[in-house]
Amino acid sequence: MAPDSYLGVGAGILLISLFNYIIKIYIGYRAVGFVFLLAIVTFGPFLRFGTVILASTLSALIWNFFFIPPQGTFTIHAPEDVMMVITYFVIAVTTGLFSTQLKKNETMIRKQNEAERHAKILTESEKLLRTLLDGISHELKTPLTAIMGAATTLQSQHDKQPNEDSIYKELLKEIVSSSERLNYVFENMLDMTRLESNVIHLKREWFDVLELIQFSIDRQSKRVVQHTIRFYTEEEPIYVHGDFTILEHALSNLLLNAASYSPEHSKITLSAKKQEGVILIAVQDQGSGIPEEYIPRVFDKFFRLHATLSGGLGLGLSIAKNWVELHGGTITVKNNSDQGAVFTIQLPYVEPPSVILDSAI
Amino acid sequence: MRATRNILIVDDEKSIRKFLKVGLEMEGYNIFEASSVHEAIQYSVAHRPDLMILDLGLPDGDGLDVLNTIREWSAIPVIVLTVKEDEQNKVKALDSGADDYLTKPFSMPELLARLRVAWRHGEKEGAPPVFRSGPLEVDIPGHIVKLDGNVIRMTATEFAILKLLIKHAGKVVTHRQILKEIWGPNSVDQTQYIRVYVGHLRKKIEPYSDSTRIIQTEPGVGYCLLEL
Repeated sequence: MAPDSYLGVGAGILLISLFNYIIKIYIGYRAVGFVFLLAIVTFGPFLRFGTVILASTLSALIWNFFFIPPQGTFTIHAPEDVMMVITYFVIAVTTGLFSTQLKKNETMIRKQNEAERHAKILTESEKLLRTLLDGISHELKTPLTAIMGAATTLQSQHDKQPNEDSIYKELLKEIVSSSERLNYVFENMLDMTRLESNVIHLKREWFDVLELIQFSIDRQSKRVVQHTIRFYTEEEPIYVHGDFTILEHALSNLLLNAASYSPEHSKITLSAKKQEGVILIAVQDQGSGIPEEYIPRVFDKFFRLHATLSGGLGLGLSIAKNWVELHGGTITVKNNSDQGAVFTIQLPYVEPPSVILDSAI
Repeated sequence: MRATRNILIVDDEKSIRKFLKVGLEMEGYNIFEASSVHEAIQYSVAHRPDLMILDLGLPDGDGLDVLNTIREWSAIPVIVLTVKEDEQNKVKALDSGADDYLTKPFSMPELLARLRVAWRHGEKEGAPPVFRSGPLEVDIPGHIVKLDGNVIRMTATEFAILKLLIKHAGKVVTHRQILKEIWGPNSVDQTQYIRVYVGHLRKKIEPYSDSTRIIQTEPGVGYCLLEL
């Protein structure tokens, strides 16, 4: 039986009534009211609105019936006693309510402070994490910059006065390409860490999906030289509201993946269309597809099938999926009926503001 | 005969200063080195370099502080070195007066190419009346834009953006700069619509999928009109 339940409060009042009955002969029937009042005021903060009303009413009734003359009835002889009971009731209810409200305010303020403190700790740790990641990035990139810079400088010098001894040229090329590969791995690792630590904030802008596709293809053109890339979209622009840099990353990862798992000179097709409230961006290759049993695992971190383009930790698809999910979208994969696989990015379609739709005029 | 140009390298990492010094001296430049904000400002005054290569991550402060300080009295070209994820600082640097940026790691030939662009801009008197780049020809005072000899119609906004890009041809123009120039200084937080407007411009001067790329996107930062 909870102390602030109706039963509990009722029982409490009865107990106090008993007590009052005993000490009535010492303090008189009027002071009995004060004892009741004292009890209600003291315990008010622990009661709810309903129980305060109960306590006030019950105690008033008991006081009237058992203590105020004529005893045993609800009538009150003396008019000043009527005044007394009414005043008592008003005071009991209001004081009780004040105490409950005070308590409520106290709890609310306490909760607010706690929430504020929580938020502050969160931003602090986010800041700390960002600083840590920046520091790691700096430590990884600096020696790599020195290596790339020194190697390319030597390359330039060698090109100016080439000697017949070609080992310089070959080995320098090796140093540069290995550095580029290392850089790519670092970037993927850092991206993955940032994603998992939730320090990414999207910078959304409006853009035509076509631009995303064209930019991605241009960006990766040097790395997928062996493939033919085609793309097509709809006649009308399809506007996306997203972080261009991040979505471009995701798309590029899909493109690179398609190149890794399909033979040289094969075709990679990118397409975009709008359909029933979603935007679909697909990357299709002509490789050998993905064995059915691996399809659910394709987006796992570090998962790799045998690849033709060497390198990579197997993070590209996982990162791409995360990027897209940050936008409220999904990436799915399925095998083509005839050849290869198709990865589809699905993003929720949001109606662009009129200023965008009118901008082409 | 061209006088030897002085370049001030500002980077706290010795290994980076070393290869920069070797590579640039090989090209005939005269090199000074600084490894802190304090030194950078000091040497700028003492040696009056013709160009500065500035790393943004300096130990005793922000590379941007160097930029802001010297821009108060110097218009020398400044190329900043940044890391990939640091779009915010790239934009800040460009808005504070940096001419260009290079993302680490980079190759020496890349740096040298940026240097040459920076010198060229430093020496230019102003945009020529007729700008040409690849298939694009723009008569700026006459407001005539031609692609492969055919006149293309542009909206006033598209032409204004194109004009701004031409003014800074070869360099990256940030979103904010575009907004400020075209829509005025009160609109500088509306960057989310820029890409669409530039997209329309791009469709006009790069109409086919295999058209020559003239406008280059620098994601998160801005756009650059290539000088082909």
